[in-house]
Amino acid sequence: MLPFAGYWLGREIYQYDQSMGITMMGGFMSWLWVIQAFLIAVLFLTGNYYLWVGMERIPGAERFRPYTKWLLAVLVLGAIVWGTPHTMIADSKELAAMGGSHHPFLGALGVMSAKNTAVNLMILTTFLSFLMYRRANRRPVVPWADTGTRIQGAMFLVAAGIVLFYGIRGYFVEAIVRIGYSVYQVLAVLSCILFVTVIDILMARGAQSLGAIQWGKMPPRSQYALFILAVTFTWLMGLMGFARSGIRQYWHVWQVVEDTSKYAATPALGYAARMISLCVLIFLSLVAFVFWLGGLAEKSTFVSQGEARHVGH
Amino acid sequence: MWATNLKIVGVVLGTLALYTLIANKIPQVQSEVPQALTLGANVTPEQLVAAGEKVFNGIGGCTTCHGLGTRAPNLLTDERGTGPIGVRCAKREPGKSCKQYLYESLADPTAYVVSGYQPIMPVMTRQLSPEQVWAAIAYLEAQGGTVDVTGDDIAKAKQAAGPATAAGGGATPAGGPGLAGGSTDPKQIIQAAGCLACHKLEGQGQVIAPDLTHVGSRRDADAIRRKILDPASSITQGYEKLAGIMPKTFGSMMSASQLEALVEYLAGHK
Repeated sequence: MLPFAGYWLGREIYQYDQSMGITMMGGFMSWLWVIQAFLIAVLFLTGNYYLWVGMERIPGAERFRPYTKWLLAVLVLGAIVWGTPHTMIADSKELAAMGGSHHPFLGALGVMSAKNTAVNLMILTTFLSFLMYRRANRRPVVPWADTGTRIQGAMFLVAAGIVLFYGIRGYFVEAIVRIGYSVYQVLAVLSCILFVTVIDILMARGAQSLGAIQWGKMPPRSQYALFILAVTFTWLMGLMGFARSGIRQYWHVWQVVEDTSKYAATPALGYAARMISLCVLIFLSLVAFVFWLGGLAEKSTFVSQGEARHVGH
Repeated sequence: MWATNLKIVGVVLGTLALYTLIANKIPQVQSEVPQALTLGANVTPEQLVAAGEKVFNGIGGCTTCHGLGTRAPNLLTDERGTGPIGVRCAKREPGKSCKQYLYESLADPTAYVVSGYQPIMPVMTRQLSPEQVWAAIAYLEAQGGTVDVTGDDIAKAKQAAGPATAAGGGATPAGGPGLAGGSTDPKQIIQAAGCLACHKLEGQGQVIAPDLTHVGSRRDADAIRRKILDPASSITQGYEKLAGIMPKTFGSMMSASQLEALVEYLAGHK
């Protein structure tokens, strides 16, 4: 839902004032979106990695292992497309060297059509990973299991087809029409997720177990992946907060209340990043403190077996 | 236990350090507060170009459309084989020098619209001071051409604009006479504000923006006033593509009595 919410907010900003939207996406904040794409790529890759590692402790999951390299390929390609810049702030020399404001080849990948397509395919891929994780140690026994699986596969293909269709068509229509295509793409993906999940729940009824999950046998690297996820997600929220607030630049209220004092300059991304990291560190330290407090409470109620026997006498 | 905790702290700090490092390695662009521009009579072309570059990339907001190359022609790079703006500006309109053409583009953007583009450019002489306008022109001339803007051009523009505009920004500051010398005749205000460059009214003007002939039948006085003061507050159906184009400075260019006279006049157009 978050990418969709982001696009909706972007649409609102553009409708309010196009110059504000363009400043955000193609002006002094343009590099921010490259960093955002990198962070989201980390989120997708780490999240999927956790699922794949988690499947190692589930009997029966080995039958899905050959597919993971293809899922990884889609995720990496999607991340590369999403991270492709569109319009960068460049001086005349840089523009001349590039032959225009867009890169002659990569510029075509830096537009919203390509990026929306990439991220929607990444969401579908992640859902597929989750589905495999769900099914790892279960074999459906309902009579329509094969048909159900084929329908699920068809739904994935149709959703991916819709995403690709509107992605390609977006290159041949005006921007105002193109923006609306993201809604169709997201709806296709969300519908696929919804219907495939419903079918999967029905198919899982009375499913044959291929073995119990080996709890506690998760490799330690998966836990580090979870910490990376937590840090990345929190950092990303900080970055988006900077985008939301910084887009006003030297206006308290855009084009209404101006602030021309020297303190009204909006810092560059490097400074913002240092502040975001500091905030994330403080936040995570507070979370760790809460966990530490929780641990203290557990210790006070813990009674060892030896003590219990002593009390019993 | 402590070793595991230290590893976790290491992963957290390492991740934070990586993100901070990447964000600091990319080009650092700070959004500056626009400063008032003062250029004397003896200003050099280099000073004008340097000031113009700031206007172009900053308060002028030129890159909003001209930097993308899809809404408006690219000015800093080649445009359809005609070279950057400094090379092609003198060839745009017969009989007009580069300087004259560029000034016309900023002062009366609909006078000549490059083929293949929409007439969406706002009148920049109302939004920028004469110093800023001529500095921007000098910067554009420097893109492959020769800078012939001088301090005289600025002085003449200030003189023509009157004392209020000469003092600072293009918009009339509070206390100034306002548009049309402070007249409360709505027709004079409309003429001076250049409304007809985009709107049609009583058979005159352009049809780029909504026709105002019957504006009173679809908006009441409050809505018209709000629209003038805050053009983004509502967009007429069918004109969504032009959202953000109407200048937001009319509120500061008119006195209260002028605004009310204009609102009343337009609301009467049922």
